[in-house]
Amino acid sequence: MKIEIIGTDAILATEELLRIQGLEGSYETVNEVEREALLTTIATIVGIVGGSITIAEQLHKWSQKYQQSSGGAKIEKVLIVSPNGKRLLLKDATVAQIQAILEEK
Amino acid sequence: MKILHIDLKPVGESYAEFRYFWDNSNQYQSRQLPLAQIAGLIDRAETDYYTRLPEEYAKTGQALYNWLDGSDRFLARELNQHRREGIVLAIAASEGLAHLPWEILHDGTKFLVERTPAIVPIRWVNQSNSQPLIQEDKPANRALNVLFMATSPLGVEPVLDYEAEEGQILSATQRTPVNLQVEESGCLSELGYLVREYEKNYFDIFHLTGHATHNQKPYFLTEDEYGNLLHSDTSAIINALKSSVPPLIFLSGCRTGRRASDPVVASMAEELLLDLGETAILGWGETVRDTDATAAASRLYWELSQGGTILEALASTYQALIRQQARDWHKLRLYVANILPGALVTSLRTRGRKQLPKPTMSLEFRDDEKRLRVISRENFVGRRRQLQNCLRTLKTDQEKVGVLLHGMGGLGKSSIASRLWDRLPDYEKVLWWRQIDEPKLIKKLSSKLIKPELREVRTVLEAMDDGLEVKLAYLFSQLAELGEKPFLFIFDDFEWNLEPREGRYILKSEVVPILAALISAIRETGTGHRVIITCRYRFDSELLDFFYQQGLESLKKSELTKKLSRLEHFNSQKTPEDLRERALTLADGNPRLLEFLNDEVLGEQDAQAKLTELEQSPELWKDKIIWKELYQLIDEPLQQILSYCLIYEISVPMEALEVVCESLPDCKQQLQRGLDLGVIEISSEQKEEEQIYYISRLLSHIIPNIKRTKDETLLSFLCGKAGDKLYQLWGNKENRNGEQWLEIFRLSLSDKKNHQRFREGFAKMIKSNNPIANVPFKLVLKQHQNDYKSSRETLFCQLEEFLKYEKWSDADEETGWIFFQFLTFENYPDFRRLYLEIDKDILEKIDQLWLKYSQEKFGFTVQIGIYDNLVYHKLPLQNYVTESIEIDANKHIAQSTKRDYMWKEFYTKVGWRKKENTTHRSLNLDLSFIPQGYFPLLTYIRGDIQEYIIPRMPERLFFEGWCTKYSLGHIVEEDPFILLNTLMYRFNNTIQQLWII
Repeated sequence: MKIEIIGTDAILATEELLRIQGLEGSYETVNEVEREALLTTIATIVGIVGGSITIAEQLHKWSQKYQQSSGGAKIEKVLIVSPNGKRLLLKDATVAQIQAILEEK
Repeated sequence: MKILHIDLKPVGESYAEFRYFWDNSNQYQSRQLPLAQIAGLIDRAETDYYTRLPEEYAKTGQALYNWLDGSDRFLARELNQHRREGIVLAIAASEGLAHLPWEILHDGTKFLVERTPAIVPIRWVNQSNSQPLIQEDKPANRALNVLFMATSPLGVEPVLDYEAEEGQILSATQRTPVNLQVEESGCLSELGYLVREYEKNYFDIFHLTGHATHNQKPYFLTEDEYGNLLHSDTSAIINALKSSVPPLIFLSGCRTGRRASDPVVASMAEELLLDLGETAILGWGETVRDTDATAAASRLYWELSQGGTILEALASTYQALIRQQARDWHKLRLYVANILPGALVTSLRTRGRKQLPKPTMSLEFRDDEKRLRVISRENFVGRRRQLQNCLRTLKTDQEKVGVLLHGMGGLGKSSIASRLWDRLPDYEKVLWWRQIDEPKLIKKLSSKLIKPELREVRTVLEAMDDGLEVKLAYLFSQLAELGEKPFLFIFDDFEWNLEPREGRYILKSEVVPILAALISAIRETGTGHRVIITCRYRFDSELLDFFYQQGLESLKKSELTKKLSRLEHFNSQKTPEDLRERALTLADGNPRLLEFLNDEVLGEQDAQAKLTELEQSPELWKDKIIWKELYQLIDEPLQQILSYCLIYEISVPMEALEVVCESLPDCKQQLQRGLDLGVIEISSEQKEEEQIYYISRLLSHIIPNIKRTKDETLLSFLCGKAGDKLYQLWGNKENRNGEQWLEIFRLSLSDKKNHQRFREGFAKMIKSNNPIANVPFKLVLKQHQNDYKSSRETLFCQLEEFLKYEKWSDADEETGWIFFQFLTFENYPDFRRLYLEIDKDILEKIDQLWLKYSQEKFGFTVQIGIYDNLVYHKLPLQNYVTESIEIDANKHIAQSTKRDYMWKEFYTKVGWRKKENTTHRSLNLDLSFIPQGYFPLLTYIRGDIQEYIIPRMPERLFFEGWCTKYSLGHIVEEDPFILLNTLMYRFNNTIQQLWII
């Protein structure tokens, strides 16, 4: 599973994401010379250990935290792509939707 | 080409009418679509297309095609009607359709743009009247006039390779040359001036390259007249171009062609069209690679320069980029409103086609031996600020008659002069190489007066028996009266006109009257003739008062990267890394040496041996940089000055050079000599007080006496002074320059005679109140790990001492220092991990010391006790919820609000909320004045508490490279709330795991 995170706080958010208990993975920063300095990370999740509902709740919480930041848009976009190609934008996703994509193979 | 118009009209609240027609908007066909279906497509574009993890474009393109085609196969039927003619799909950029990536329409076999003839989707801003597009075809019978402006504001990273874009356009259009007019300033108001200097409709294309962004509305990042960042919106571009709007504008920055969907905001391209109307705008529908955008521009202008229509050029560009496997080909979007412009110019052999007025610079900028002595326009990189400074003077400063470019050999003075030559097309150029003499000057000027109407002027000039000043004044005033172009005199390698005297250079006696006459004639006649002098040295002469003096420095950072990207062997995988690094060290950013090493060393079979020979025998190359004659002028006092200054590894202000040399005789005068003789490099800032200076390492190779001292005591002393001075100059909260912070700590920690240097370095880092200082300090501290001696036994001595004497703030800083040492020397990635994994004995020892000496008022366990009382179940839920946020069904929003609430409650309770005039330092006070739990504080935060309510992560990009290179882990501005909870977890294991993720 891959997670794309775009925004000025992408690295901080990704590091926090990967601290969520049960999510095992790593990330890389997109380092291409483009005509806009937009920070993007791609996290690769190699394992989900434990209950998907708990992880989904924490992901939801994590997402809400960055969307509610009062100092401007810190994270513009988070997209989850499951191994079978299902996609979910975290912006308005419910815990149930997140859980469903975590369970995709 | 036939145009199939596709439009969408809202019908009621839930439906839209989907209309399509060819030439007559009254003969449209339609079908009704639910708006929800379009919303679904937009959502899908967000997940499948506008991402770095895209679904296959062919698949997404096919889905879009099928949706347009519908069950009645409308699209397939319509396209089949005119397939052989080439088709434009003009899709209304209104309502939801604007968000969709039409450029990737795919019919199941290939992308429509790949068809021959192509089917090209474009975006049609139809302003509600639905009138069909008018195809206009009024090509000018001349070469293509392109106005090109790249923006590269100070501090905006990554720096784009705009020189490559200019170079590739020129190279692509070699057979059908274009008149590429470049506005070097990157400034829209300067651009406006330039546009107004030309007749209406002179330019066919305006090309703007740079970073663009969206922040509530679209902006292009441009420069002010000094290169500083400006966020320019559409109105700024309109203001610059309104006097003469070209038929095609290319906004080559990210997302200039993408409409924001939430909230709906028109793209920059749409906004421009709404105001400018009858033009065509190209933009990018998403982030675009610099290289792909460059490839697109060169292909587009290649096609247009040959008389191709805009649509042919666009189709050709898509196809070329697909062939080149350019990732972003489909992001190129063409917007039009009422008019669809066709070809902009005629083809090359059209009868009566006006030829380009000027041959290219490279043909002209040759010395008397007919050798091209400058880098070609295609290969020129960098020197943006120097060019901007010089152009500003040459174009606008009436007090100056020209510019003096000075600096060490090989820095590219002549190449900059040639670039200026190229940027000033409205001058008649007079190039002079080395020694000047009066008869030859008159002859050279006469040779420029070849027009029949200038015959009389020429005759009089040659026959006049007056002095040079009178002759020149006559010539200049006559040319002005006849409306002729002014001259641009370029005196290249001017050092041949100088001679040494008393340690400096002065003009040779025969040169003085010539230069004086030229300057005087220009000033007396008030004409626009200008002079460019390139010279290794700044010479003693009052005549220089009439020149803007531009010093030069070696190539650094992005300029060096660009230069290397154009040098084959520095780029080659075949060149071993260590060899490359050694060559880079030897050249120290000198472009001529870099070229020499690339051309004659790195590509050779025996490159290792050759490079070793050059390193050991500078006499083999030093004449490329310095004249023999100069060695005598670099006498012992100057050598000593330069040796002392070598302790700096980066460019520094003059004050910093002075402070390390102050014990040497005549230090200020000697530094000035160093500048005049070109052995001290000068940064590009125009104002002298902002300039910084660098001593090239090449000097140590060339003159062995110039070297950093080996006397340990002296070295230590100089480093200490230098470190303190730089901290005084740069060590503030505002300084975002990590390289400067690194230099401060490198020098401070090299003062080996100072045994407190590590602790003092930490204090500097803390007192700067600037998170940018963290990584450099950690990096330098780690490099000194072997010098730093500490043991568990002595680790807490200083802390105890401070606590015993109730120096609470000092004790707090010492506590921070103890943790910072563990963080650095034991390789913890961050403080959270440190607090989580460090021996509990250490945490307890620190806590006990604080408890003991503060009568149990301070310490971790005191803080934890306070925090424990606030844990959420002891507070009513409504306390967590602010007015603006409602609790959702699952209470998740409430949860994160609760977190903020608890943190705020805690730092208010322990007194961290900053009061006016209270500084941390002022808290070495009586215990009774300080709130319970106030200390330790640095363990969690530093600086203004208000800034830490929401954890920040500043300048992350900047440090990414360092962190990776030096295995520093990820240094982030950490969340104090999480740190507090981590400590709580260590002390009593009661806190939820949730808070320390």
